[in-house]
Amino acid sequence: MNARILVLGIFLGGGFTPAYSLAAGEDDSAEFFRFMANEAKVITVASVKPETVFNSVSNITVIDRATIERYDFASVSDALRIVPGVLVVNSFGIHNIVTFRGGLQPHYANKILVMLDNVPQYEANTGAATDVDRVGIDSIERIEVLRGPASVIYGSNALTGAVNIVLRKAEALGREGTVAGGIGSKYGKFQGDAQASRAEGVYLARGKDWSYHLSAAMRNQASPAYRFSDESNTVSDITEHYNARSFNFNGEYKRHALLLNLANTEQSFLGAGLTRATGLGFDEVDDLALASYGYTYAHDGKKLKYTAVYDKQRRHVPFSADQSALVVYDGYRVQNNLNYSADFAQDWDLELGGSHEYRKSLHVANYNRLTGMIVDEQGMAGWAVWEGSAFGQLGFTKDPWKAVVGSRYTFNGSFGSNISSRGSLIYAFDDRRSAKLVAGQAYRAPSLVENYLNISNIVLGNPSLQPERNRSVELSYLQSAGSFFGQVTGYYAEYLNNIYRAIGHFTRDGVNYSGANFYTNAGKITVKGLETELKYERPRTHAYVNVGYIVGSHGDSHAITTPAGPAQSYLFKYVPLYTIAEGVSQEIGPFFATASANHFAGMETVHTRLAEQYAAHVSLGCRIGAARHVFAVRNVTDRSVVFPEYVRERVVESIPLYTGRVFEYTFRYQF
Amino acid sequence: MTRYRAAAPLALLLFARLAAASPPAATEIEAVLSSASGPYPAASDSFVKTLAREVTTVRLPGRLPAASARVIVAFGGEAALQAYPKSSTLIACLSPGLAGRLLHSGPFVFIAMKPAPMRLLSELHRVQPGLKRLAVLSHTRDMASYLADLKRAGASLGIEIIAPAARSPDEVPDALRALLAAKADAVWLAPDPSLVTFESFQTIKQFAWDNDVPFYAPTRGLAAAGAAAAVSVSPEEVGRLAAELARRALAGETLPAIVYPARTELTVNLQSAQKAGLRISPEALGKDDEVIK
Repeated sequence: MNARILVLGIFLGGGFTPAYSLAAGEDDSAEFFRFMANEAKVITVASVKPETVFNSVSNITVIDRATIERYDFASVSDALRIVPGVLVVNSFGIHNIVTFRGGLQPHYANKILVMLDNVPQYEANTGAATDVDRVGIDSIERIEVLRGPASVIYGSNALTGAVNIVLRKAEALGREGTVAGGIGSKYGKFQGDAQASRAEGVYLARGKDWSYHLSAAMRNQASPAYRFSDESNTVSDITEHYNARSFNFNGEYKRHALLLNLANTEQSFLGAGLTRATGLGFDEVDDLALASYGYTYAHDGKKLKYTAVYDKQRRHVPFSADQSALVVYDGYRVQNNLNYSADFAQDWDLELGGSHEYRKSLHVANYNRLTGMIVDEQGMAGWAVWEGSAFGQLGFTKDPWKAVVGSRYTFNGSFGSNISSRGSLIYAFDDRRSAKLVAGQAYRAPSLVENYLNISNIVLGNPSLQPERNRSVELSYLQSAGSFFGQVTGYYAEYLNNIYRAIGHFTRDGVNYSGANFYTNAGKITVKGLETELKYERPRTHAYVNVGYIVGSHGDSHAITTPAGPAQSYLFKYVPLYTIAEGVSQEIGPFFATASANHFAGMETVHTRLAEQYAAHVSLGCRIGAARHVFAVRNVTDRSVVFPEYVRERVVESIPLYTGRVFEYTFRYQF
Repeated sequence: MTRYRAAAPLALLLFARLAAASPPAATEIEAVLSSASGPYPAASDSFVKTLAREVTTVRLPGRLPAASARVIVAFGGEAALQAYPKSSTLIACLSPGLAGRLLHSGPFVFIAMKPAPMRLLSELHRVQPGLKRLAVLSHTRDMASYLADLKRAGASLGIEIIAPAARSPDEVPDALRALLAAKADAVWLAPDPSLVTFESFQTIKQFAWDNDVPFYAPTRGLAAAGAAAAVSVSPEEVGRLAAELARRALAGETLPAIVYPARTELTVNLQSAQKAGLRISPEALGKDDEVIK
């Protein structure tokens, strides 16, 4: 999202605060320059036609720094759980899959676009943006969440929405930073096992025409062990865990900007064949590298911005008990973007842009770590696709109306062309009430794996796949009254050409395959939903209640065969009818307490039905000088909270989100 | 019931806090400060002292004024850009560069940090009686109406105003070259946040000394740092003026969109003036003027 969103933070009380004071002996000129520098920032915000939550053209939720600290979110995926319409779930192979409006992602988490400082990142072979936690939580200034189709501005993969993780920047001239650490329990209850759960250092600096962010983070997240029984009825104790290490650099000098993110994640994997022999309970490892250079030229209300992106991701999935046999997904993306925006008359603004992207598969292959040899290429080595697109967006503002229309034309070397459009109409009753009507389209290009995979002529990609599409219309009403803020959004969406794996007869390149497992497009799925947000904000007391309600049709229903017998499967079978996220935070002097919870309606698995569930968390803490100490209990009731296993559709009916109570102590020191 | 056990403490905590809370008594006038440091507290203190009545003061980030506040005084740009009730009169001060950019849809008045045009030129003319052509360095688009007033005032004093374009500190050297070509007698740097940086100040000061073109600044501190003189508006004066306007707003008066402070302070740096080729006569200075030797 663009810099305009910054003002949302100001409105919601999380805005920047000049952090200078006149020390004894400093002269008046230094104070005056600081005053001018801070006022200059305000002019920049005012000049970029600031959007508040009331007049932004999309339905955006901003989780700012103050909210992150107030509710003691340990990670990005933790924070995203409070947003209505958003689910953060696990599948057999991946943790923390962020899903918007029921768009479950069967094999690869590729239906939302995840960006870091507006730089898109996803794996070249699969389109997956699985590692939202590739940045430590203390490095983050805010998380911007846009629900609904967003391809006009962001292109492919923003099918059901987009998440933008914004890194912290120094607000005032000078230096500042954070050092944080934590210890967490490992096996639950009071068994005495603990581990370093968090370590993070953030260093920010700003000069007259430069600034930089430097940070490194480590996060170890483990749930208490639980008993798991595989197809062979072999019982073992599995510890779900997700560990991440990251390094970030974001530097700006005059018109130039540089972003670098390096990350390594390890997460537990429930096995390719759900038996201990096929990697169950061992580590899936991702190595990620994202680099971006940007150049911005701004003059007299017009701005031209060029961005170049290099995104390399490699994922290793264990295939054997000794982890010598792996499946490796290795690829890279190169992207160039050029954007132009201008206010060309008093009431009109224009944004134009173009993008070119090249996605290359290096390997999707079975790999032997001991010999260093590729065993089976799975038909992917060397495949590549390019995609070019251009978009335009025109806005008109005449109080109390604001209208924005835009369209993106895309040509993809694999599937051909696509046009996605969006229109927004906003009516401001006054500065604290508004209504919005948004109608939009989005698409997701089939990934290289979905097009070209060939695993022993059994699992096959389909070069004839059409892009997934989403078209939706939504109506929102927003109001702020005193300390309360509320937003309600109703929407209707159609998911078209949903890509999934079917089993049956398949023909590819003139070759017939019988009983193949192949990628294909589904029919139409219609979705209706309601999302409500209610916030209460006072200087020392805060609370929220967010509710998401969603119903989807069975347009993609298909028969499946499982060891437990035949069954029907469709996307919305596994989506809860409603979710509720609530939280409250209270400060008393230097002390503070937070409580939060997530409720899920009952859900269906392949063969059974899960009852309503919830997970609740509490934190107690205090501030001593510049340090902040927090003691947290996550999943206080020590219950197991599970989600339907909707990918493998056999043996395992559900996957744990929480397996027991976890204790954690963290400290954070600001300097 | 069991499933809601965990929710009960949440609800109890929330409702107990809400029930126990006594919201502060609403006041007719509320002051909002962008920060607890900088010039804002001094202006706010002067405002409260001059007004001599109950004022609720908020420092950002904090609760914004209630809809019952009839007058809201915003100290600083961040405070001025908040969303306030439409029915309230907003008095924005210490927010240079925000004239014409306020978001408030109700009545508002903007207290400029620049002196009234005639006042500025009179003071500069006092310091430099031979002043015939004054260059004004500012972001022209934001200064359009002030420049127009300045030109009118200048016409009555026999001073021509020239305004070389400079939209950012990068453009200051080109603007200085332009005013040299236009044979300006002096330069005045407006309190424009998009131009006033430590670097641009050093550039202008060096230019002034190298070319014998006196340089006038908007604040006392910059006169001490090397400008020949400064015609400045103190934060205390801004606060005092805000109080006067607040009284008038409460009395139902319609206020002008922009108000320029009439009271200013003159600070003269004799050494810097001499380096810029200007000899300031002691007779030209009054007892209230500050002289830096």
